[in-house]
Amino acid sequence: MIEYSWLIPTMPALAYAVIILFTRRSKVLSGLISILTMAACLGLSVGILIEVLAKAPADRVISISWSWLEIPPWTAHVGVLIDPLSVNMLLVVTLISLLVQIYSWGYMHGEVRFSSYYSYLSLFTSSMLLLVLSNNFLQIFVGWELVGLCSYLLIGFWYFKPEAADACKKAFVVNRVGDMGFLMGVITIGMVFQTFDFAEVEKMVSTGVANGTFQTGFIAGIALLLFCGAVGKSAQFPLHVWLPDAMEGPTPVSALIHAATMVAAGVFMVARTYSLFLVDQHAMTVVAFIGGFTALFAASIALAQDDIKRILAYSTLSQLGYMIMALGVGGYTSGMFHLTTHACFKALLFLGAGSVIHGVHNQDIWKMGGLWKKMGITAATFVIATLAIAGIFPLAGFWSKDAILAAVYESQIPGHIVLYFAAVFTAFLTAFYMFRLFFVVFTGEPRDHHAHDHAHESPFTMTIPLMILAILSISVGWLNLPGFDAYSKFVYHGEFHEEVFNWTMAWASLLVAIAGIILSALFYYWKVFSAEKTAETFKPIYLLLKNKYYVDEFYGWMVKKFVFGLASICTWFDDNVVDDGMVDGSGWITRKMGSLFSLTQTGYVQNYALVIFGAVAVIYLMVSF
Amino acid sequence: MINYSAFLPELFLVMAAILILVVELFLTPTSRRTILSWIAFLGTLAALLSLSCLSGSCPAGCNLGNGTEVAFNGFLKTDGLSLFFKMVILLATLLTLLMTFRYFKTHNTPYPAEFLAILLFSASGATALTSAQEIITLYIALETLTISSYLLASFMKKDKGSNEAGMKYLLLGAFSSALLLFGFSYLYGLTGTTVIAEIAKSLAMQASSPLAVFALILIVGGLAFKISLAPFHMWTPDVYEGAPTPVTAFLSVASKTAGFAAFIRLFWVGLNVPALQPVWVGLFGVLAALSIILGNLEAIPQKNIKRLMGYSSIAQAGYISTGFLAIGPMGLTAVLFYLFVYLFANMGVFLAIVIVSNKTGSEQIEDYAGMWKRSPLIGMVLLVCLLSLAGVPPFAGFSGKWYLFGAAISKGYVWLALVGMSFSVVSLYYYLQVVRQALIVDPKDSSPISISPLEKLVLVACVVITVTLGFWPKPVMDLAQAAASSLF
Repeated sequence: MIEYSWLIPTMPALAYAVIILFTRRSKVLSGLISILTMAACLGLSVGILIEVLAKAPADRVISISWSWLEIPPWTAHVGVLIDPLSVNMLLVVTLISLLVQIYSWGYMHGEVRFSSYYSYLSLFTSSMLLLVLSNNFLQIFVGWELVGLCSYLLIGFWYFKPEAADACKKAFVVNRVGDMGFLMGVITIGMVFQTFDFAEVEKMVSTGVANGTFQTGFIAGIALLLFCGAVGKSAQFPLHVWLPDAMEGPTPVSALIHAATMVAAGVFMVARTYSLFLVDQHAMTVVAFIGGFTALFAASIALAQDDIKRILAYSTLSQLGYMIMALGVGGYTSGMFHLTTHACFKALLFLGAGSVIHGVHNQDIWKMGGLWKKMGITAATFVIATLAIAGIFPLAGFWSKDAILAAVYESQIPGHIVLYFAAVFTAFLTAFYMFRLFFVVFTGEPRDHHAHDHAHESPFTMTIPLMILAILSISVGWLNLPGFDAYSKFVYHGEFHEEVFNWTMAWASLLVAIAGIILSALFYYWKVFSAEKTAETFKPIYLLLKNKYYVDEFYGWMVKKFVFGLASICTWFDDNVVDDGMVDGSGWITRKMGSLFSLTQTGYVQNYALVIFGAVAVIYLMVSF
Repeated sequence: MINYSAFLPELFLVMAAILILVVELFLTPTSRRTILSWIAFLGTLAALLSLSCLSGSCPAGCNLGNGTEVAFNGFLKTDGLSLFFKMVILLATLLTLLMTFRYFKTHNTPYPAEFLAILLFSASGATALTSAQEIITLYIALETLTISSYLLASFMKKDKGSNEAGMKYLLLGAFSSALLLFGFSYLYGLTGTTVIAEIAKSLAMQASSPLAVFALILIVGGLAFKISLAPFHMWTPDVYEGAPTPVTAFLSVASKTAGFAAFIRLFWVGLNVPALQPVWVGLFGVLAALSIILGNLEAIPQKNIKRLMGYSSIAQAGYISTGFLAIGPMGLTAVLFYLFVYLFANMGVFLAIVIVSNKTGSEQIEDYAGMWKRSPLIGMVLLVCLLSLAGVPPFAGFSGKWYLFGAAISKGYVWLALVGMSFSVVSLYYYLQVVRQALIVDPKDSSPISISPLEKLVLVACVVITVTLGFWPKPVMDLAQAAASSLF
């Protein structure tokens, strides 16, 4: 199977081409092509997993390269890198993508650009798989930019809505900031190491640092440049602003791209280039603190949001923060494990939210309520996902989140105790705001009777993916049951070493999560406490959270003040000097010269013959004298 | 014993041509077009397939050749380099035949047999030229190509434009042949031999003489005419505009490729001696720059798409000459790769022109308005192929120019590469004019244009090859490198 791994990104790319070129007029055919290709990719990925598992741990890294462009003395390669990390990502991406595509069949029903939608999903998955399978920095950058493009296309899928058009632009521009750093990192690597291959760079770094060729600070600088890309794509503070707005896209897209897979690309990339980060502890500390801060920061914002998808978006930010923090404190396995479990329950949450939105045609949680009776499957699966993200035993989130907490607690980086308490507090907040969402939407009395009467359970194409994901949200965590440790024994960096599950810490964090749920119930289920009164009492804090710490406003002000000022000077220069003078001028001269030279084309043979013989004579005279 | 393998493709072409002339005697006017066209098509296909046998990589395992075949005391030598040139020429011939099928349907040619036979004779001249190792053989092959081309250009004898094109081509072609022969005669006088490799040896032992320089300039003049390098280009727009469109397509690719083959044999082998090399390299630099500048500038005011393609082909000859200057494997690989890329981009455009003018009866650019709505495939072909000719990434023309200019820069011709690059920008103006008409402007008449399945296949193939080679030039680059290695 491994020798056919190149088919995994190729097949969806072909599906994209076929849909765009040939089957666009037939919605059924386009959807089927896309779904079946994805099923084939999933099958292939499972085959690769089995094959890799059959090998001894030392032989599980297989890198295959083909030369792509040869510009002597330099050659660009394309290749696939099969190792536990990429196999893990392959399964996550293909599985979530398949489920989301099946779900979309019902959700996008009646959409005019149904075929385009499926073609974009195929292109996205293809790019994501290209990124995941890449064995060099150049290819990962190509995949990286392609997923960015697809994200742009899909956020702006309903481009006629001004919010969607703005959101896709914002996502693209904010990502550019991070990608700039990433690109600089990639170029530096190419210049310093003369190769883009992960394994070769890793080897040169380890020998170079050992014999003093490279200073650790220099390698850390490269690692942090690469990390800029991760900050943009995985929406870490301060580049987190695009992700909540990205919710303007169709909800299945939010589930696939902006929750489960693409936003995890930053985490994946850090894991892929982990050796560069490990060289210097300062780089790791920066990564850990950015992750930890984002986790807490986003969770606090989620407390005061009203839009169902935005709450989920901030919870995604917060969970991505967890993963980045885990990588920063050296918890490679726990970070990737949380990525995997999070993909399942977060996809489920978004698809459940999509099902709700499909039912009530609204996104404001205060217009919902009492939906439990109307949408049984959606509500049941939603509560499973909510319990999973809150970290309740024995669901998936419990195992992965506690692995992260343990990694933070036991790490060696300065200030790790601060991070630990921030992470525990984040877990508390997560339980609180997730159950706030659940209680408000599914329990109690309907708030908007018109919407409530209209609400209905979604078709089976939508509920079946929900059920599959619900099963996964319960059980994926069991891969790492203490003593079993199948996941830890598969995905790790460097040497494998046994980690003992810390039950004391796990029970403590479980208690914290339960406390969060009870507090949430006191506010929103039993209504012992009044949310309105609390908001009134702590008005400044409430407003600060409600307005997301005014980060968007701050960026807006910065852009208006500085960027626009500079831009207006450039515009003046461009309009008056470049455009009128140079561009129009050179265009005019070129056209005039064209007309002038055309006059030589008289159409008379005798003129042409004269030119031929004249030219020979003139050339001879010029060469001779 | 004659080694037939050395001219096997030519044999196929000539036999098919003779067969066409004979079979025609037994056919009724109604059925003959299809049957004769198929004979021509199969003959060319057989010639094309025989190339892989000659290269020693025959899938069926025949032992016809192992890459190098010599005949007639070494006057004709088919090596890897000539096989690559032959491939380009034969592919161009195949595509020309395909255009001819459609062209015959609307333009009632009374003599299809003669047209097809002459086309095949012409192609056989072009392919033989690429194997010639001796100047008389080279000249005969060249004249087989050009004299047939005169006939082809003027074949629509009721059409004024075609007559004018044929007449101009004949007169100017005769002048240029005179120059070439004049140059050859001096070369023979100086060296006493007609074998190109011997000429090189003999010239290397002589001091530089003004006569050798004179011979060189005459040869450049004579051959530059064939590849329409400025200032010997002036026939090109007139002939391209007036000649039947399939002939124009044939001239723009097959004839040009043969011309470059002759240049490489004569100059990289025969005249590559220390005394003369700086002269002709400098001369080519000037001619290439002149072609790029004049071709691109004069294309701008054009209204007729065939005429536009004529100027475009002048500019393209300039680009290819840029790689020709970089003597060495890198330059040769770049030239071969670009010829391959140019083949599909140019042929795609000409096939689109034939199909469109079949429906609309017009070759004016403004009549391409809204072509995208009338036939999405033609819109696509115009977009991809024209942008590839302009050298826009990610199409093959970009990687092709990348290699050409890269080779030139590696030999120190930065100025020429800069001219090439900046005038590629100018070329966007006129290529995009056509694309703009086809994709943005609303059609005056929105009736759909029908395309036969075979034509669809070829159009799609042109697009796919042009796009794929942009992303992944390696397969053809490997082929070109292997071909180039037979000279170095």
